[in-house]
Amino acid sequence: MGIVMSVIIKISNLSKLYNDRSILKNIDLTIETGEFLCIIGPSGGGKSTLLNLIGGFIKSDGGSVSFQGETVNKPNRECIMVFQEFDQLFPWKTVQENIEFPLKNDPHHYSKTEIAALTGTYIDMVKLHEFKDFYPHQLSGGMKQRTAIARALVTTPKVLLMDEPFGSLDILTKTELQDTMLEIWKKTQTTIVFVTHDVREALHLADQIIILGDGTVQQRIENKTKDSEERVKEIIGFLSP
Amino acid sequence: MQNIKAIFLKPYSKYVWIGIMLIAWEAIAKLTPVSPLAFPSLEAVVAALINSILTGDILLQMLFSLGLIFVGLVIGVLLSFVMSALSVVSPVFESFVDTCVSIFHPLPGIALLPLIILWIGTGSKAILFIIVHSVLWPMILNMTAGFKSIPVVYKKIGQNYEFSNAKIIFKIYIPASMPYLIAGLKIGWARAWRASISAEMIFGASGGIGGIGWYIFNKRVFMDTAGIFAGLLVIIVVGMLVEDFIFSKIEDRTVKKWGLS
Repeated sequence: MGIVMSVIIKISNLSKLYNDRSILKNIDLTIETGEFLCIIGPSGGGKSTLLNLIGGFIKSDGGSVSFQGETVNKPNRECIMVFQEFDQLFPWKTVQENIEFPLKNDPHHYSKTEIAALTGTYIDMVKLHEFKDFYPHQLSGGMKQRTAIARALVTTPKVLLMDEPFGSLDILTKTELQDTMLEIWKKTQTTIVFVTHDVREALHLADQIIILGDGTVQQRIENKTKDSEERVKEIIGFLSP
Repeated sequence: MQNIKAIFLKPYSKYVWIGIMLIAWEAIAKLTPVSPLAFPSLEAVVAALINSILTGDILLQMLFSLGLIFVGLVIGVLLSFVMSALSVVSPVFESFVDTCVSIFHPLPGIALLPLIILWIGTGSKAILFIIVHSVLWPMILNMTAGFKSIPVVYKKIGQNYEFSNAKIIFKIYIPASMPYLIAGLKIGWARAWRASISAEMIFGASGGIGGIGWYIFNKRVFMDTAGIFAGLLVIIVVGMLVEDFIFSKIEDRTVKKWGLS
């Protein structure tokens, strides 16, 4: 694609304890600009913890995360998180207002025209034009997640962190959203770190897959032959004890 | 039978019930041997009300009470907002506010009257003090409960966009806890009414023309039972108007529209 890949996130010797139990043990990992990286692993394996550490939402008990060469010690607007919960949208704002929200509160002070243009672009990208005046309680789970994705992307962050965003959706909506996500990634080339426990989802979306188990990186896989059954079996083999 | 039942399930059913109560009232006053001094007929109450409206007493005294309640509510809401917001950002201040609420919330304003008379005197300021005391603590309880009920993910979103604490409170916490804030305002409004009327009955007209509480108390002194009922009727009507035309509209435009009720 002619893009010079450079390291955007570097994780060094990262550890995290919960109630004296080691969740992450000396993780070393690099994520390059424009990568679509999926982190998969069993429930309770530390996937979300790792994502929260990358986002700066929690503190580590050892090691460090650096974003563009700077140590991450608090959340920042260049690394936006999309959460699993449907209630991440503000119920007092419509779809359009939810997407506008980060722009209206951005230190760049976007003009009204810029806000309207950017919001329109991302509403169209997630195919919610007809629903832009709906409140979250009037939307389906899939529409809510689309809105959350548009809101996360509208400020064009460098990294999108996604914590099992499609985990609570039915299979049809999930597949549709995965395709939308791939379209968006191809258009924006935003670096995406995507947590899932669904092997097929990881194989469908990612170009890099990290298998997290027992608090460590078990395997890093380059996923060029997407969706192959051999790969599914191979990864399940890594995940099985 | 179904049609009759349907009437009581409509939004206006409250007024149907009021109509039934008024008919029952009139029936008791007219058909039972109860003394008119204890239980005046509706005509007597309406006549007393019209008379008080014509002389201007009841309206002026009602406005006096409403003015004090409004000022007390504004002060109470502002203070409770400051205290609740500081509780959000500082766990130490939260512990202080929790302690204050435990001490002062169960304390009726009227129990403080002897002290208030001693410290402030018996004027409008004393009434205002009691109103603020009555509004402040339930309002803090509701505001802090509202702030605590907000999904953690909202706060994370605010942090993700690097909002300051003030911005998180104004842009996220306040709208997100709107159902609690409205409930707190309703409680505050009702408590302010009670506090104001109790204090006015005790302080009399020393705080100016006296409020609706003083009006009712005065009617009792002259055994004007119809006048007492006229005063109560005005309080009820104002309460219902505020409920139907202020709180209800606020709810329609906020929590109901947002699917939070």
